[in-house]
Amino acid sequence: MKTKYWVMLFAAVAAACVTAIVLFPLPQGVANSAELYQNGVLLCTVPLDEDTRFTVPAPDGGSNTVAVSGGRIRVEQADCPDKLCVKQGWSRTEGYPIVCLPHGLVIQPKGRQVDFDAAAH
Amino acid sequence: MPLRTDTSVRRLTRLALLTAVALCIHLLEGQLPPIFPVPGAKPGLANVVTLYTMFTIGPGDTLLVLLSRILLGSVFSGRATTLFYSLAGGLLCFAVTCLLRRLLPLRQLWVAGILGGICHNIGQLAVAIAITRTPALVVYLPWLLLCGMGTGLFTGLCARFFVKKLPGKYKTW
Repeated sequence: MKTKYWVMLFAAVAAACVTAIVLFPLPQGVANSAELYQNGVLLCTVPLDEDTRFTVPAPDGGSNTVAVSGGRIRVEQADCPDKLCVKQGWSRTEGYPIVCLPHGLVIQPKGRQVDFDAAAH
Repeated sequence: MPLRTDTSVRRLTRLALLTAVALCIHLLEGQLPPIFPVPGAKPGLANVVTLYTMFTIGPGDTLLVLLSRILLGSVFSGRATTLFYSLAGGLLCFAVTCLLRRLLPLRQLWVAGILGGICHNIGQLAVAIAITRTPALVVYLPWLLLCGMGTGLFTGLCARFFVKKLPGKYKTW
């Protein structure tokens, strides 16, 4: 296949990507609560309006320390080997979930009102 | 290019060096901070070695180098979870490159680079979604594809350069 056809193909794919990005932008709404999932199971919903700090134990014996401050949430400390979750830093939008893969932890900020106080695990 | 059967020590050394190069690239790029909150999303620059080996030596040895690099990579970086991501991305890239090896002339190696990069990212995203069970991560697909195509083009061009400068005279299966 001639080079120019490949170029056209990749240009089309890139254009499709840009279109998809424009049509489905990363959810940007500032979140006012965050849902914590462990291995797909919802643990609790944490309101982001109150500064707090708590530790989530992981099934393999490890743990993640989660902190909420100034409307944002992050994993402050984790004993997983790669600490990608810690490096992700603060999240305040739905489009930026924080994930700790080794512990199966997903922190998903949500833009809707929270109905109940954070439940202890 | 003359075809000769490789003596086993020479072949072993060559493959070991290629694995070492791929491993170094893999470990170094793993140190970069994640841009997207997709776990395991990496530029995939180590695929330049996969491309080079595929187009100068052959799919069998490329698979050896790839699997060794992935296994050692997860051992040296201390993250067992990296194993699945790298496997998914690397094997998908390998399969596509294997098909393209017969179809593409060397001057179009950059095409293999881009397609390999695309598959690499799709594989990583699929595994990330499967393991974290958050299908919502798929919203990052167009971003990952754009970046993947960019790095794929880069790795493809690099591989083309290397194949030109270091043509393999030894082919195995």
